[in-house]
Amino acid sequence: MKNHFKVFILFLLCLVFSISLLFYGEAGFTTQDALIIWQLRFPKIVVALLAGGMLSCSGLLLQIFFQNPLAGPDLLGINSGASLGVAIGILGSSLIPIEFQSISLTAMSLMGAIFVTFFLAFIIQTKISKVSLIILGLLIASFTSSTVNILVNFSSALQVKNFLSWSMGSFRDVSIESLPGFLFLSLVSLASLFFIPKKLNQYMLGDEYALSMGVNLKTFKTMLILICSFLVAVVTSYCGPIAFIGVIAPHIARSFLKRSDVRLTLPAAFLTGSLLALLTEVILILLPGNFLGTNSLLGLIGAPVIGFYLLKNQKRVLS
Amino acid sequence: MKTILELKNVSVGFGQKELVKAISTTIRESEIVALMGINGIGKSCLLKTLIGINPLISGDIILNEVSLKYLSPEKRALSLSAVLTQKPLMDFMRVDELVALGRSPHLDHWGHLKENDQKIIDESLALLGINQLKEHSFENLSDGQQQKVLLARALAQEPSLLILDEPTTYLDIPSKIELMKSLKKIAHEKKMAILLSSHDLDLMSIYVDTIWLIEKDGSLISKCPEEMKSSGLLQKNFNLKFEPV
Repeated sequence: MKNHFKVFILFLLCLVFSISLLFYGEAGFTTQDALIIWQLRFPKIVVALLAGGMLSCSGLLLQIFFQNPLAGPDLLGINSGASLGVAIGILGSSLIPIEFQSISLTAMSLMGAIFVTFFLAFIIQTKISKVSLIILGLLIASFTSSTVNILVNFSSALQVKNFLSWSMGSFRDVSIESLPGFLFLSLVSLASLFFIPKKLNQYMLGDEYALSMGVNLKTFKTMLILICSFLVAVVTSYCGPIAFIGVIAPHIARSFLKRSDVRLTLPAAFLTGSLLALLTEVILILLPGNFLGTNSLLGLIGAPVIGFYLLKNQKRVLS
Repeated sequence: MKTILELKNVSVGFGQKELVKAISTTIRESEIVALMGINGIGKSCLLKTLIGINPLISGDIILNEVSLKYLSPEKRALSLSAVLTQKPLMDFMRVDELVALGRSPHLDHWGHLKENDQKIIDESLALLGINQLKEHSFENLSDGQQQKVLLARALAQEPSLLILDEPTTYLDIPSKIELMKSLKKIAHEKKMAILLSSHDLDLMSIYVDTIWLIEKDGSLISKCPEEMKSSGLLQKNFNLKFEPV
């Protein structure tokens, strides 16, 4: 009961933040303009709630998979795939045939991310070690960034600026018209989480124990990577690459509950992720001017937090 | 008495390199068997093959009259459980959560515990006298306590064959004796067959029913502890010479 209460507190906090963001935001406190509230603030809140939660869930799954409290969605190179898709969409628009130019950037980044996802799911079948998988993620990232650099050389200053502003990440870029699409993809990816709670719990004891309890490791790992990648792919496509939430939020959730059962920690991690996303929005609204991007803010807070954690728990992270 | 495990011409090893060659033997219910042999001879490899971690090179393993070839991992987990040398690394894992995982092969995909499952978990904890540790975090326990928790998890799985890979290694002498006594009790009360690997010659000869010795040529000799001692095979295999100083 005590733990369910803690999850409920997280839920209440999310609710409070959401409501306050509905009443205070773009165009100040006093506005009664329904247009601003429902077309600007409402989509932003829904997107922050879901995107933060999804990144955090994906992070929790990966932390269990890698048995390392600092694993996160950035490791696998899915963001890089999405970036490449978007880069081709924005920067390479002069290179691709005119009839394909109408494809939206969201679709481009989704294609990039899903391409990497399937690549990873294929690679996992070959019994690759976990360390190699991380190195592979780094390789994908460096490969895509080189490709992006080449594309930059062919592009105009405006195109480069557009690409950079996408890569800064934002929960505000989803319009009310594209919200249903985002909702649909989010709910499908979140629903896939309901297939694996028992196996995730078993997997927490490591490969060999999981096997001795009847987990088919190959199927399970493929499913886990597919689900994680899908969650991240959806978020990155609509919001750009969002940093740090996927690493920090699941960790905060687990420290808060002091439990490991996924049936408790997964909802808690989701709510913590939502909460962090909403919190960055609150801070961005309160800061005057528009000079900070979501990722800049998350980086300013996230990097020191992780650094501090690393120094404090060196043994646990490196074991 | 019922035969739980039967090995027929079983060869195990890594890749195509055979460590243990064409062995045939059985374990009956309530029997405790100690698997012995020098380091690197293939003890762990044999145990891991039974659990399904390493592939079987040739031969047939029959568990409760069904060949392991025809058992899916899910089905196998219903009659075989293990305590391995690998320690769980996840933090914030509570003892009751860990022991409850032993029930998981019997549960639906959501892992919902029924009243009966809860009863079995409590029984396993009580059998090892660790009821009071229920709400402790696994990572904060001593080696001896951790070993008991892992054993309780394996018991909660209600197997007919329990496999333990070097369970006594990191324990002090009183804990070793306590563990072996618990195993003896479990084997008789639950009619469970127990197979464990160990290097503790003296301890094993007191508490186990049978010793399996893997020789340097990869063959396996099965004898009761008294016969094993008098045969001189242990001395030969462990290079024990009694020379006057």
